[in-house]
Amino acid sequence: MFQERHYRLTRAHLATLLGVQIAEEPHYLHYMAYGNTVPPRRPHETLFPSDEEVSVLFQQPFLPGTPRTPDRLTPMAHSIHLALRKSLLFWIGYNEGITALQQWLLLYIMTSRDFDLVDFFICELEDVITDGMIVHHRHPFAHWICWILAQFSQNAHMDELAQSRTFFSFYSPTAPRDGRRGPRGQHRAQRILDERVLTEGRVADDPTAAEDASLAAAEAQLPHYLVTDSEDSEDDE
Amino acid sequence: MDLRGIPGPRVKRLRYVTLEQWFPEQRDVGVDRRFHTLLQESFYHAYCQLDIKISEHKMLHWVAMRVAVGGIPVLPLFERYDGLPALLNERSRYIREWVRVFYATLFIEEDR
Repeated sequence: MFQERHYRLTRAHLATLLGVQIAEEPHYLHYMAYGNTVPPRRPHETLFPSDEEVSVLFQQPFLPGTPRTPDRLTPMAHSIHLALRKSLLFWIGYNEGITALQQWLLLYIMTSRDFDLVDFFICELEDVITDGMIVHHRHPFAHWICWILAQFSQNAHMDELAQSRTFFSFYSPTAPRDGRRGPRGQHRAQRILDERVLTEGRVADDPTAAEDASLAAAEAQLPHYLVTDSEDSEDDE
Repeated sequence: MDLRGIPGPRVKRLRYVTLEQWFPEQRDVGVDRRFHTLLQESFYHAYCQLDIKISEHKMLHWVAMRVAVGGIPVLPLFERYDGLPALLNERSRYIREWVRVFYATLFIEEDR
């Protein structure tokens, strides 16, 4: 219900309001992670991607049975994983591991495979409304929900939403060389790489200098609150 | 009905019902206009009294992300999914009251 009226939405209508498309052969990430478990799904047994599939996300060699911890992710996968935890699949806690659903989501995004975003959204809502009424309960996707509601009755409430003073701020990721970056393995990897560059005498005039300059220029364009080596980086590991 | 602290299985029994049970033909007598039944209103009040928090999603800034990953563009990974970049980068505003009423009244059909 919204503004004292009932609204009934189909998946297609929901996709339109969110501005997304339902793929022709979509994959359902919650189904892949939880099977046919009825909501709330999270406390139940989960199904992980195979070692072979997920290997692309991790530093090599990735042998069967290698622990799938965030510090073993490739730097790129690690950054995307942290960003997803703050945005698309908001998650608090369990920093030491990667849940099945997080693995599936990361795998699909990193390998550019279609998944059904509407189903993903519905499943997350479903898990919330069937969860216990305890203090730790949270309401995710407030911004998406309000974006949908504001469009009802020919955008009748869009102005009200636009004037709302409650909004989510931008995520401040850590930079690759940030000393406070969480995963110890990644620190080590970066340190080893730096030392190798030094020993090989490729310090000042190597080809990456141009890339570094380009990055510095890109960073200089960021609003001050997004400078990535700031004290307030939100990576909570 | 005070729903504060009730465990998941009981919530499920209350909410995992048919559409006709969740939205009966007749609105409950004395219920606030924002809701259809006293049960929905009870969920809303429980959310308020427990001060259920809004999950603090963050918006993604593509340049910041690119810098964070050492210069590799991140946006193309998300552009693969029509509409997703805007949802992650632009739709930042919300109204807490709308969200609480939404969650208190939401019904999702089993064969959605």
